[in-house]
Amino acid sequence: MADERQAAAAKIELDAVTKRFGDVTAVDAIRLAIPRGELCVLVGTSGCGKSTTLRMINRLIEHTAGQIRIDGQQIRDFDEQRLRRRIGYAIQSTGLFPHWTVARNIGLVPRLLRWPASRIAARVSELLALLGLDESEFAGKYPHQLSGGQAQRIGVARALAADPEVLLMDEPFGALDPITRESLQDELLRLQSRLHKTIVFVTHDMDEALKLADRIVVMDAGRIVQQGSAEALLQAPADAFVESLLGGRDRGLKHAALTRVAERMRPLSDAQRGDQALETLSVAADDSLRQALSLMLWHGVDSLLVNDVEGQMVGSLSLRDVVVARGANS
Amino acid sequence: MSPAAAPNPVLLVLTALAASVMLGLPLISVQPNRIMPGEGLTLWALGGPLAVAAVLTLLAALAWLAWRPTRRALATALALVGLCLALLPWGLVAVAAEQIDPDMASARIGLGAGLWALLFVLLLALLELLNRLALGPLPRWGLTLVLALSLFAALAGGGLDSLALMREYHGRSATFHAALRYHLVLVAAVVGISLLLAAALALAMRRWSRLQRGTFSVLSVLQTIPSLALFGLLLAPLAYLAARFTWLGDLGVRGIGWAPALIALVAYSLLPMTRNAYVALDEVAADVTDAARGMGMSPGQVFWQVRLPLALPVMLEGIRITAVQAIGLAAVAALIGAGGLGTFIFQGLGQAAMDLVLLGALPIILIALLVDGAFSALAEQLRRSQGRGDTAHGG
Repeated sequence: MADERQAAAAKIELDAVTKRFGDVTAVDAIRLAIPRGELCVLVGTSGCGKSTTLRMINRLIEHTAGQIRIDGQQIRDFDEQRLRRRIGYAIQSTGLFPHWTVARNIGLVPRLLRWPASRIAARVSELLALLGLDESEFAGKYPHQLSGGQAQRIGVARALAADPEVLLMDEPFGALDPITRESLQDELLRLQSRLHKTIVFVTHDMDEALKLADRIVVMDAGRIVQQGSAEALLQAPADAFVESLLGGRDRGLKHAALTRVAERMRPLSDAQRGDQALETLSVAADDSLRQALSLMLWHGVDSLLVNDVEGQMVGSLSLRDVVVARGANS
Repeated sequence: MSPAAAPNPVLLVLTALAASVMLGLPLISVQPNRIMPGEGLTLWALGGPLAVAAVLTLLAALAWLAWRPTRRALATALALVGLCLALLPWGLVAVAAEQIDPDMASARIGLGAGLWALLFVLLLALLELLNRLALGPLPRWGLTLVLALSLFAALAGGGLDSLALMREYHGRSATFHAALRYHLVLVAAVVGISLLLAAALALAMRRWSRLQRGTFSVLSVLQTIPSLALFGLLLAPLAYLAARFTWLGDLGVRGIGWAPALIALVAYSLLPMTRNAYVALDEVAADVTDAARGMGMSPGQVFWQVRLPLALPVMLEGIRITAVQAIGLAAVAALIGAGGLGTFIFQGLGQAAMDLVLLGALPIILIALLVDGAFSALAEQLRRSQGRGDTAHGG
């Protein structure tokens, strides 16, 4: 029952979708329903069919069998170019046109949709601002003048240009250094909390999936092995393959990375606040348990103070609060 | 560049060479008429000890600059070499005025081995200095313009009319201009036709990849046939066709003349043109075209707005190679009555009149250099306007 209700509300549905290249079955009768506004991450090793699945949704690859529906309508019923103009698309190497300026790159799809020039210009300014790029500095630049992180921001801006409801992202942050990647992941989460797009995101990096996904879909050899929230996957991996993707014995730390300190801390009473020595180590309530644990390990302490955003002391966290029986707190 | 830079060996060698050709070889020869062999005159004979001393002082200055090549020294050397080149025609004007009796209408001055060698050495020094100083396109073209203007002014003033080359020119100036025009039209037609054919072939090969091997082997074989042989091969079929279809004959198609020349030159041009067009279109980054399709561009939009503009600099390179090659090969076409500047070369060879050969050869070299420079500059400009120094994304 629950499944049916979910399917009815789904933005993107894959119904027994298969892709064969000659004799090779790249994607094998997968079923997937992605509700409106969900960030769904397809994760798996290379060659597992995750990219093929993504590219079938905007018909860059035609599926061999089954049905793919967007808003309940089969994608084959649309003209393929019109379909793609309704779907944002961002890829690892950005695919920015090297002979076009940043502004022209971003305005690509609006121009294909024949928006008036003034509306395109306004949209480009809006997107540059949204992605934290100064218009006067960046609008006239060419892609080769950008850093990797900037280029990928422009790639995302271009994908969002015509305000599509669906966004396909094929390992968009895969070629970036860890620090840039992390800041772009944060940026994507920030954007998503404002825009509520339906996003299909492909990656081979489980940490990225755990961080971004509303739902993780683990694929292997063209099939879906398991799907669910990050929490659900960590609590109960379906098999040894999923477990190894989740990092095997590091799983505890990955789980700790998903839990915020605020969920485990003990609030301080007003009386206690005055007693605490100021030099005691502290973490932010928004930090993860993993960060708190790391601080404890490094400094050899078994309890920390917790501050809120304004730096006000709001609670304490001890090792005992961190280490609780699995499932007891969730 | 550090102040204590090591001596520049290239410039030193060139300076020594310049000194030896100036002193050892005849610079010009004076001929009473076209047939009589000339009398070679060295620098000493022309200007006496004063001229020799002046030239040696100048070269010593150049050598001193090359010994301690700071940037300022190199710039000074460039100015000196440029000045020498610009003054060369005016030196000839002065020498001509002194050596040639204005009453003797057929007396003439031939350029001697020493002068050619000097010109060559000076141009090499100019190139070396331009490369060392890494000047942009603007000073390069500026310098070229100054040299060209100086030469043109000397020619226009009439002071060089007694040069053997100019005597040959004045004897047939109408023919020369017609030949020059014809040569240029022939080359333009060859480049235009082979560009269209190459574009069609490249597109066909992209669509049907099996065509690729066969096409390139045929074009390579065409390239290996000697040009004279190819003209010979075309003679019989074209003569037959012209006899069979009178409208072809009316167009001027015959076994000899422009038709076989055009066909042969197009055949030679196809390989470089097609190869560059194909490679250029093919090596456009796959992720860029993938993104273009993924954004919803139609196949036509992907081609005209993305693939073709990105391929253009490499395609221009193909046009440049083809044009330069055709300018040279069109000279050979004169052998089968196709006309053009080659006519003078073969006439001159037949009459053992080297200055007539030069009248054909020098413009061909100049045109080839100009076209080469123009297309290189165009491709560079295009790359720059597309903002493509490199495609790598920095960290």
